[in-house]
Amino acid sequence: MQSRHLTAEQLSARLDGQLSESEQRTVEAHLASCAACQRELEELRQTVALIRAVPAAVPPRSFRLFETGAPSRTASRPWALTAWLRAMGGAAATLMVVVWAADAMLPAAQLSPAASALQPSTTVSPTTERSLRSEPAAEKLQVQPSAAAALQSTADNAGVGVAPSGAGAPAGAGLPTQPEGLDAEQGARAVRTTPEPATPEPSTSDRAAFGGRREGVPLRPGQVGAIALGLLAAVLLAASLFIPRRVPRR
Amino acid sequence: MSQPIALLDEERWLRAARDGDQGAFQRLVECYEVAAFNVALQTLRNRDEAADATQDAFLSAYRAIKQFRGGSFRAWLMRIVVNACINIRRWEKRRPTASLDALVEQFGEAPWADASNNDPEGITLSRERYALIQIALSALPDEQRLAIVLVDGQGFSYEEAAQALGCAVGTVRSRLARGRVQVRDHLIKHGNLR
Repeated sequence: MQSRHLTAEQLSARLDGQLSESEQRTVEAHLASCAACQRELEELRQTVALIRAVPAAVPPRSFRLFETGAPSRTASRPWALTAWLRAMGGAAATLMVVVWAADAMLPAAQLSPAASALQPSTTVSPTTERSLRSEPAAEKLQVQPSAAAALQSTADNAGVGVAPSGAGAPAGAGLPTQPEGLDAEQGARAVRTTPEPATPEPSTSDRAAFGGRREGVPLRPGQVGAIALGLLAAVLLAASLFIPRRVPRR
Repeated sequence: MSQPIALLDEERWLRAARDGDQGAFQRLVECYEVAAFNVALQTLRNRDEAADATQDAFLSAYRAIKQFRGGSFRAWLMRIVVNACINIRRWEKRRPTASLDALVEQFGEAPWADASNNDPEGITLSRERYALIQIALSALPDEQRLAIVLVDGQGFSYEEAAQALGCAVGTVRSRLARGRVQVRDHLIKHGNLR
């Protein structure tokens, strides 16, 4: 026992082969003649072996970042975009129904001054004026089925809650499960459009309905808003159809 | 404990992941999630927090993958894991208990007969001995325990451990030695070393 005992760090590093060359020589020379250090080295060796034998804990879940079963490069992005477009389209369609219904049910007297200023009485012919006032229900029925169909189809995909307050009855009539209150053709159309997600059909029919009303009559702000919303919904839903679907549905 | 994967595959996946290939990054996650979770678990000693830290770390790694400039990927990744653990502990400051029941609760019943367990000495730990080692480890200062977990648990080189812990190689060496000595003393005290 010619030199000082080895430090724990030297012994520990020797187990890992992490001694420098000069250290290595010193350590080996000491170990060769020191039983105490030999014993300590053996204890450390056993300790390390026991630590290394500790089994790995099993993670409670996988930490994959992407929800695709088989790894796919472009999986999540198109679906996220499609879902977003449909959700927005559905929301716009819902708003359109609400705005139009509210507008149609409001008596003209309750319109804001700005709104009445927009429709000077001289330009309104009596007949169209009358039709605007006295036939809101018919107007609604003409618009609702397609809007409701659009709502239904987008809500199915995007999970948008459809609750058109104030227009509950006609919107409900557009649902395929209770077609009573609609004439057969409208009911059939609602049923036909429902299973196909986000058909562009609502947009064209909406435009036709709006176009027929536009001639000679300045639109009230509510109608303008509803038309804008309807167009927005149509554009969004149509756009969602053009997102390439590279991932098969599961 | 660590699963060695072909370095060529890792290189390939890394390059693809840096080019934005999510599938390739997924492969890397699958390779290292057990190691990352175990490092987080040994750091935080709480199963739920460790899972959160691991998830955070993989998300951070995905965002930062373009900044990886070669070297040891697992060391780079474990650095992120350790940082995620520090971030989590900043909010949750509590000292875990070191009873056998608490250990089983946090670490799960150890898979004693796990064939994939890298066990060159052929040692099968008894339940008591396993608990004894875990308790000894949990009594260590964080930095010593992490050095042991990376080098002895994950088979890291001193250089890799230094990179993962953001310290010098010499620091790893001394932390490792002090930690090992304490675990040894604990085992001797309880008559589990001959």
